[in-house]
Amino acid sequence: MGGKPWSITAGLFCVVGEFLFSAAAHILKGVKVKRLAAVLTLSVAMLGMGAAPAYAMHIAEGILPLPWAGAWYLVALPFVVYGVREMRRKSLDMPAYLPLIGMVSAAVFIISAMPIPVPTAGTCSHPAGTGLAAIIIGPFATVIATSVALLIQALFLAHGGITTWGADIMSMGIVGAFSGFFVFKLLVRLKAPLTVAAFFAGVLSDWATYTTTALELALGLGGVQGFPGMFKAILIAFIPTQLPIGILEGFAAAGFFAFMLSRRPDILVKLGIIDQAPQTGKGISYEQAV
Amino acid sequence: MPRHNVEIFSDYFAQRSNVLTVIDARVKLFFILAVLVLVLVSKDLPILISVMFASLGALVMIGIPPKMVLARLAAPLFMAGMILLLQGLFFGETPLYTLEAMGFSVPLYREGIEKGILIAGRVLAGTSSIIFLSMTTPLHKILSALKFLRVSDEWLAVLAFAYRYIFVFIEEAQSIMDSQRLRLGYQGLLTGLRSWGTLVGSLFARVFDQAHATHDAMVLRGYNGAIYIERPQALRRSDLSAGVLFTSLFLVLLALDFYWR
Amino acid sequence: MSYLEVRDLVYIYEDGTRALDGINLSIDEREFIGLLASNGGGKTTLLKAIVGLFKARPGSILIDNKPLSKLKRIDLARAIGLVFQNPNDQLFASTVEEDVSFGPRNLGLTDVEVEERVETALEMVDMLAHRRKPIHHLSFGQQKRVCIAGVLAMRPRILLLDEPTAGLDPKSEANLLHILGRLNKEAGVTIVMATHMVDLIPLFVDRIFVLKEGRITIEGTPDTVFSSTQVMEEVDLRLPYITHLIEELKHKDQLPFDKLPLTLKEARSKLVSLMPDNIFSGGELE
Repeated sequence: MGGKPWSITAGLFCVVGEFLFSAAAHILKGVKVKRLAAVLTLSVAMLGMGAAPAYAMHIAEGILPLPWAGAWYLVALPFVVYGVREMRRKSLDMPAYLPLIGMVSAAVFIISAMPIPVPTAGTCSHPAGTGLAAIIIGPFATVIATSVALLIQALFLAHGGITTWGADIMSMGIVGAFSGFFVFKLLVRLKAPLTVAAFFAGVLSDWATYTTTALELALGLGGVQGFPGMFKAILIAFIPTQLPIGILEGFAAAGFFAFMLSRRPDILVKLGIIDQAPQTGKGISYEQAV
Repeated sequence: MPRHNVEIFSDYFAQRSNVLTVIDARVKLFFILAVLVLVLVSKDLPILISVMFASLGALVMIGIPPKMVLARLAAPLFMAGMILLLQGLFFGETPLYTLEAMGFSVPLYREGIEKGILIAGRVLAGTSSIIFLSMTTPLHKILSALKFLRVSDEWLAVLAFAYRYIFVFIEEAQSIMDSQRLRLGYQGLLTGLRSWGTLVGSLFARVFDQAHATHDAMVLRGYNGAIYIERPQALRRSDLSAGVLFTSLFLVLLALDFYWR
Repeated sequence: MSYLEVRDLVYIYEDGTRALDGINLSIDEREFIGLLASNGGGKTTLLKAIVGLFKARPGSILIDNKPLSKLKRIDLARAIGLVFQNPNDQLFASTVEEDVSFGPRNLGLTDVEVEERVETALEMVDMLAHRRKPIHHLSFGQQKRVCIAGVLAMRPRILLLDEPTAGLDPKSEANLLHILGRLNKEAGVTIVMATHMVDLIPLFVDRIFVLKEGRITIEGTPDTVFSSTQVMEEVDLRLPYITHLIEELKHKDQLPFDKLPLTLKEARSKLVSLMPDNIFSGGELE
């Protein structure tokens, strides 16, 4: 499988990587080294304690001041409203649509709340699963599924919050879903293998989610004046945990496609991701795919 | 289902019948939303601390193990701690304390720490009031209350489905993971990543099959695309008195907040 | 004329497997039918075809002399109910009463009628006390009973059950079968129960159909069906243990049994009558 288009994919990733590196270099120049080192130490210490990364994705109740909490609600609202309309329309043609979205939401809930042990980091952390969900059910439906999962987490697990719900929908639902969805579509159009496209979709949607969370926190905590320094600091604080978790997220998305291609191609056909199921027994094996 | 899975959710305790669980969900919801806004606006630590202790105290009063309450607070506390340090590092001019780390000495600033303490207070007060709501109100009552607020039926249906099937899928994911572990599926980086990918893959495969099976079963019971969410029952006299009590409590907090400002 | 008639039903999977290969059945009202099959024998496929989840062709299904294909979905739901094997497939609502009321509401009944049906259905399966509980707080046996209540609330004339006792402990199993027996005898519901539990089935059912590889190989009363070990082994099943024991006693030890007993009670009274008086020391014979 693959061929030349695949090298384009690799090239694209190099470009993105280079961009990230230059961004990091820029940040390093801008911030006082002392503070930066302190932030890094702090985040590494938290990584060691194992609790911070598991909860870094969700902004806790009460952290964002009222104007920012309200602003993120307003930003998220149109996406949720459009998502509900789309859901209403689709469930008329396809009555199984509502149960499906509900269950995808349950899966997003589990992936983004159950700490998964990462052998390398020696800690518990979790990805978001929204990039993958968006590939499967589309970005707007994912916004709905995420809004539901986040509400249940906020209410019953004290994980995230009601006042920060809008901000969390924005970062995990909207940014996570759309970035994953578009990266996947783009790479598939470039004829990258499905597992590879899903891997990059997973990685980039995770990193995009964290960047947005950092942005929301920086605006909320630092205000507009304090924003640049705060944003850089939080972004850097996230790096030691979020780089590996993003890759984990990529493996989750790739693992999904590897599993589906080899064992349940019928589902991918139903979703309209592939046209025809490969002959039974001739699916791409997991080893080939990953 | 194993007990620990059931206890994951706060509303495990809301199934009991006591003075707080019988209050209409709408009354509690409005009160908690008002308190949350107050928490975000308030700049007084005493107000925040009293909100926290009032919520947690009420929960302990109706017999919820304090350990469970504290367990819920642990994660937000951690985030509050991080915020506190970040604020101390970035804001202000008056050095309060100097951190010595990796050969660097970094000052923590007084103004930042003060702001950090305020935010940490908000996190604790806000989270406590949400725990108060969720440990006394089961999800289906919250659904009814949201229905009363004219939230879309489709969205509520998705919420109901998600809530129900979280328990099913947690068990599923847990047993897949356990069997992977027993066969050494998480030893070493590559094996671990592969097992993890398979776990997510099978979880989503299960999502599809379950959605299909559930839909079949619903069709046999006449499903036509509509999920009925029950409307809340009419408010009783006890709900009204609870409402009056909550309102006066809220007004006292509000007055104190203005007085101290 | 029988109430449910299945004629020459064939269902072929996409890969060419003949899951149903010319099924013929007819079931009268108020009968308690056991559908015995080993795993993969086609019983779930047959049940799903009868309730119209699969379009099986060729062949026809008649319910009360009306072809299934002509029935409206809602009328079909009133005529036949299917209880799935896995309670998770069926219980989707957050509380017991919400789930049980789902069906009646779809029938367009008033709130009062819905409430009445929920109450009766839960009463029938002994779950009325748990009506406000969330589904995930119920034990597996209780979930199974709520599933049955959810279907009963539709007041179907035939109740199909797919492996109702699978995964239950002996006590819940006996409890569930007792409830089904009561439904059949007292409420007059026709019951078709797919299972491979040969030991308990003779206690309850009037007739048995044995399915193997998509065909009905034997049918009749429990006595005719369980008449010999060979026949049951051919369909990958076995005799009830007690019947097997008596069969060995009959053939290997030449004890004079004219008819093979299917239940403990029958076997005991027969054995006691064969024993010399001096070793039989007591115990009332019913």
